Amino acid sequence: MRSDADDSADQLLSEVGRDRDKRQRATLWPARLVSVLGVFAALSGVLGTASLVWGRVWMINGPDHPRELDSLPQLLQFEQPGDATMTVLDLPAWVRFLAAAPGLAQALMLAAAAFLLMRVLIEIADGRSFGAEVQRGLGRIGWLLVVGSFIVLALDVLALWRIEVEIWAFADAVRNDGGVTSTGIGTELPRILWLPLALGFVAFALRWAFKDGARLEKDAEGVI
Amino acid sequence: MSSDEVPEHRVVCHLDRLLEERGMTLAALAEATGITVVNLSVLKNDRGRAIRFTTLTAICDVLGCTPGDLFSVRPR
Repeated sequence: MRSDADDSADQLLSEVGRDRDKRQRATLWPARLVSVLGVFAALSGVLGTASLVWGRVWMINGPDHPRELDSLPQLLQFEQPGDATMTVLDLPAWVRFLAAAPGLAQALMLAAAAFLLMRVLIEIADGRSFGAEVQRGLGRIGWLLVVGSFIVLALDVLALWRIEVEIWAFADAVRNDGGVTSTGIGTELPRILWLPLALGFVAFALRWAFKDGARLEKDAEGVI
Repeated sequence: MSSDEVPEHRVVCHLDRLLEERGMTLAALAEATGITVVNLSVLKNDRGRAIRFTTLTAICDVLGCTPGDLFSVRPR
């Protein structure tokens, strides 16, 4: 025969089960979405890099042709030297890679952050919100986004400087061959990833908040 | 002692005796106070680490006792 205590225990277990289901619905779907976005970020970074290093535009129905210089992420505008045509293929392969490096670094950083975030969300879904793994994960996301954002900025500045050097060297070569040069370039501002940077600092703050939460949870253990 | 260690306490709960004297079950007390059986069981078996004033008030109201009847401190 069932006692009142059994019924109360059943009711409590049922409430706990409902809470767990709600929590899992609210965290596992975002975790899956984040992992898919992470894969897309990594793929787009790799494909963008490959396209720039290859120096050609993939055509679906027609011959591939060299990429224009102003298709480089660092350039807004490029006026061809009067008597010659300069394309991305006229840059050394390592400079093309350097031009693509900030985009690649950004994509890999976002993919890694997505992977870490997915792990954090899974921990929360499993009811270990204030566990050490969540705190570690948030700390890693913070470092990744803050340091990664500065690395992307540094790579972009470096690429911009090197591309300018190559363009002016090309223009000088045209002039030395007796050609007329009227090269002009417009550059992008170095990319400052303010949103990932801000999210990195938010992750650091959350890490401390979760650390406080863990302490409170420990304090509340056994409180009736 | 590190900050993670919990100091031992010597508080003993006499809930089982009070219930027995009143012919009351844990489930009935849970029903009357709104405190879960699980929590009352933790309290009864001296596995609790702290008790809220609201919990204490509810138990004392139903059992007609004082905190001093409910708890004592075991001598060293």
